[in-house]
Amino acid sequence: MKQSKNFDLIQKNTSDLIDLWMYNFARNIPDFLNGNNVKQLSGFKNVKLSIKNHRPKNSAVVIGGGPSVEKNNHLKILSNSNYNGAIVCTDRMLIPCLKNGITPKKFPKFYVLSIEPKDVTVKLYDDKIIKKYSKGISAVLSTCIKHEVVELCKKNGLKIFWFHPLIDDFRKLESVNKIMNMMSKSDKNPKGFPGMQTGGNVGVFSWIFSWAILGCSPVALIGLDLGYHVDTPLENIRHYRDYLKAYNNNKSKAGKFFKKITNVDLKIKALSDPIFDFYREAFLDLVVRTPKWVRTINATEGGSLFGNRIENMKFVDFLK
Amino acid sequence: MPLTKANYKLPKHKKVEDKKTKKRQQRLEEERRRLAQRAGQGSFVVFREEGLEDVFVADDL
Repeated sequence: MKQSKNFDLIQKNTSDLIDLWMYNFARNIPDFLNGNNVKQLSGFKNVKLSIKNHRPKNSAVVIGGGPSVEKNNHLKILSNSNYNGAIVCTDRMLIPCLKNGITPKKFPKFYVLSIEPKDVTVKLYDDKIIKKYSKGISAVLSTCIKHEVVELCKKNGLKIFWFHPLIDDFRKLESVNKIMNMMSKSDKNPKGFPGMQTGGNVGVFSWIFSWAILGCSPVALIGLDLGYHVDTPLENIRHYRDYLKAYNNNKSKAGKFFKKITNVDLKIKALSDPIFDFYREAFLDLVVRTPKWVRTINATEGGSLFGNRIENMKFVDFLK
Repeated sequence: MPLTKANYKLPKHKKVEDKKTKKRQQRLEEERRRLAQRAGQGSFVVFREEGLEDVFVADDL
């Protein structure tokens, strides 16, 4: 199969996280053994029969943490709206959402999602405001999430729903996913938990969750830029230092991994780094595989996402 | 010679391409090339396995 070198490299690095995934998984066992299944949130009456012919009744807004969300004042716009669909919030945006008035009190269908196995997620659940609104928030967590995140969710009183991130071919006996699920079976969940495609990042996973579990369509994306503002200096980009280090501080060589993408829908340019480029490729692959009833609306008004089956719209127009 | 579809030559249109259009066209072609390259192959680890390309949620692991 032909894939870009960058794609293969990151895919491999992702697989190398297996140690960390299993470390976290083991520590989460006591919590998820009798935990809630993400399927309890299903918007389908009979998944096998209706996933292709589903008639969506609700829409969803996925909230990512990309620069466009702040630039376009999207949190305030949403907060001031009478939107009655689902709020599907990436973990990074939970505290900013609550602080901007996007609360489960105003938007009762409120979800927050986490898949990142590293430490960085912990601080995203560490704020007093979460406890204040905890009753209405459903936290959708990967069984491989950092255990401290689970502890914080419990401390804050969030209702947790579990799933396994798909990491290998579960049809094979030696599959890690298969073994994970064998260990997850309990009286409450005799079949264990479903495995879910994540797209590699919580923003794309939130989009998958919105239609594949909640059965929502259209799904509007805000703050899911998968790119930086075109004028962002390379030095300010998270992964630039890693590339500089790998190429002995040769700026010219390291810079080649960062490219400008022209968003033909918005007629703007976005700056992409190898990681975002990988996620972007993955998303473009996934979006064309969705059932026909799924409408994906890019309401970011920025970023690098455009292509087949992605509709572009201003966020205010989506909320009308 | 009778005028048939096979021997009738359409007049050639002159293409006016400014730098901006050319660049945009190149970008679009690149996008199409990359999409074609990936056709049916999927993106994440699990998608590389034949038959799992369209799996978003797997109920029976």
